[in-house]
Amino acid sequence: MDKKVPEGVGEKLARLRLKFRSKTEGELDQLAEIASQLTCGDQARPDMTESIASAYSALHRLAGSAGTFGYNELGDHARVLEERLKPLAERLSADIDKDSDHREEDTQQLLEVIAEAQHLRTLLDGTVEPMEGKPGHQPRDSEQDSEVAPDIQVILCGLPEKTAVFLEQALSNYGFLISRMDVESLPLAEKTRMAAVVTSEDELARVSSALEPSESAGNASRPPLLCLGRQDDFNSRYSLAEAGADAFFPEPIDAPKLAERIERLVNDQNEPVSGKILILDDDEYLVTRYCTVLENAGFCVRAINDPETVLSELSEFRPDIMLLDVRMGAYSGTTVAKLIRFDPEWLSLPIVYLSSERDKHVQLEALAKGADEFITKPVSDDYLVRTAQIRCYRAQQLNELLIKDSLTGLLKHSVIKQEVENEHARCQRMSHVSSVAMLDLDHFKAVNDQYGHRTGDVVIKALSNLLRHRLRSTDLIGRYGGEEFAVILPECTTDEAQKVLSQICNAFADISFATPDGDLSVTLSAGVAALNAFASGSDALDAADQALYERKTSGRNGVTVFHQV
Amino acid sequence: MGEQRGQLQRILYVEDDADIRAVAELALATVGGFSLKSCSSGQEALLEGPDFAPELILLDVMMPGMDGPSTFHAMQADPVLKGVPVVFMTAKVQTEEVASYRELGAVEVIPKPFDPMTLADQICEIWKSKV
Repeated sequence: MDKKVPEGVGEKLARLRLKFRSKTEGELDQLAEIASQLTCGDQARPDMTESIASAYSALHRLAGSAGTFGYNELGDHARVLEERLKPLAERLSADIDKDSDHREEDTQQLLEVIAEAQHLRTLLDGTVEPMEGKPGHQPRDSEQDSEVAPDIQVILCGLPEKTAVFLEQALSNYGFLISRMDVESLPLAEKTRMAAVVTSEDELARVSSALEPSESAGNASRPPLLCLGRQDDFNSRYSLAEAGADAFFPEPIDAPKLAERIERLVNDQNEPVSGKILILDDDEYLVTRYCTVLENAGFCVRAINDPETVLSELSEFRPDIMLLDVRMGAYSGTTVAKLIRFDPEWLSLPIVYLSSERDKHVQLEALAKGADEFITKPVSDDYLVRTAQIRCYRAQQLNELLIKDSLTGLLKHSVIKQEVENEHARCQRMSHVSSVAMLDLDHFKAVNDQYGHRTGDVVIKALSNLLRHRLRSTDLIGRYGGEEFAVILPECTTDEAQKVLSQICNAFADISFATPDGDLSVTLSAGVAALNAFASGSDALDAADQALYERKTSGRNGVTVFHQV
Repeated sequence: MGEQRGQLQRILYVEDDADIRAVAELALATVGGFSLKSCSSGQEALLEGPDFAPELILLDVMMPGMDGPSTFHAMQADPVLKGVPVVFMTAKVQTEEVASYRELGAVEVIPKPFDPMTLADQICEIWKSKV
């Protein structure tokens, strides 16, 4: 059968594929809708039978068709769910009024299967279209998704129904993709890197071992595992840590904290550990070697031979850690370490000694002068890289705590203010145009008063996430005050800044927050100023603030650019 | 089974899902070069099938209303469609199920999802060996 495939078939197939995709997206949303209805408490029985029938037929269709369009994983998963749903669905429709004990159990199982069906949408979203024959325009749906949609997937597994419903609700406000799964299907879950699993202390051991196999398959690490539990004492925490939990949250669950932790764990796992390392050693040959090894491992390295330049290098390079030779001609490394600690700014800088000293007591004496670790020369490449990774990781974690706001993960007030000055200096030096913006949530006090501070926190966190997703990675975002934010947009005109911030305002106004007192949406006002047009960074911030004030008095919900009068 | 008359040309195809129908049309008409008549339901196939005089009938098993097997039964009452070899397509490929369709008189069962690039070859193969 070596017929040649007629021309244009690939392109037509691709078009059909996209058509199928957008239709299926709609169907899966419906399925998710059914699932959330069914899982949200008591539903009238006849309705339920119907919903289950329609879920079943949707799954059947997917099982038979998705593979034809190249969505094999989606099809396979749908088939597994379909087969599990089949006997239950048939029984439920057959003996409608009989044997209610039995049905109670069935129902629970059904709900689990259907809840898992919500995960299918993630599978579809995760399937990348092949480039060949892809039409020029992006399908509107997926574009919209990728804008507001989150990149972190949270799998709820082995949780009591009530907790799962609560978390689904609470976490989705933070822009996570939530799906429910039972322990058996965990290994089936798509191996996405941006995922975390939340489970209960009762199921932790099973969930943890269900996640194991993925480890043997290649070097991929398993997703972070967060555990919820009733007991909060040392022994139960110890056994959870032993069973493989990466984080523990006692009940009642603090959703904002949980969300923050999920984000941090997932990001930590996916950001390769790297950092900036300053090396001071008078042996040029060794230094070159360290540099090569560490640079190959992804670090940014600067090496100096002359101890006299160390302070200026520190200020300019701002390393995460420092490697310091103990004996450098006339200078002693331990004394240099002490000297570095004169400056409070460098009190927290991890210093690692490089030395051929083997005597533990001498080593200890040297550490007492103000360093953190001793590496004995000759040092293997591997050991050097691992030490640097561990030290940099800890240093960055601590640094995060120092410079970032704990609720939002954005830069703290003092830090963003300093960054504005830094960027102002860069503007002067490189003569480029940058913008600075002040943002403020509209009528936020009323939100706090009416819906409570917890809801207020959710709103603030959601805006932080939106800003992070929508702005470039080179833009800097800070939490300036309670509901006030400052943004630095380097190499960006005020026109461009106004455009992107207006889009953010619109997107934010579209977000609906579910609260016990009904749905809530909040708008946002912003003022923009050209950083380079002012004598100092703080002048530019004041101007942006003034523009913000103008916007507040002229209707809110939008962006105003500062104009000199 | 019917006598072999060389190359297969005319296929009657019954499938309720429009997306799948579109791909199958592409796979059979464009890629396979068959003359294809596709219908969205058993009823439509019974109405329009006889005029088309197919040499082979492809029937989806699970369709709302009149499913594949009942369409098959109804076709046996039609003088033109009666005896035309039937191939079922189904997403369920458990052995008992396949056996039951064979018993019904199907020459073959094609599992879904099918690969649009090789569906035509699969049909040719069936036509050569089974019909």
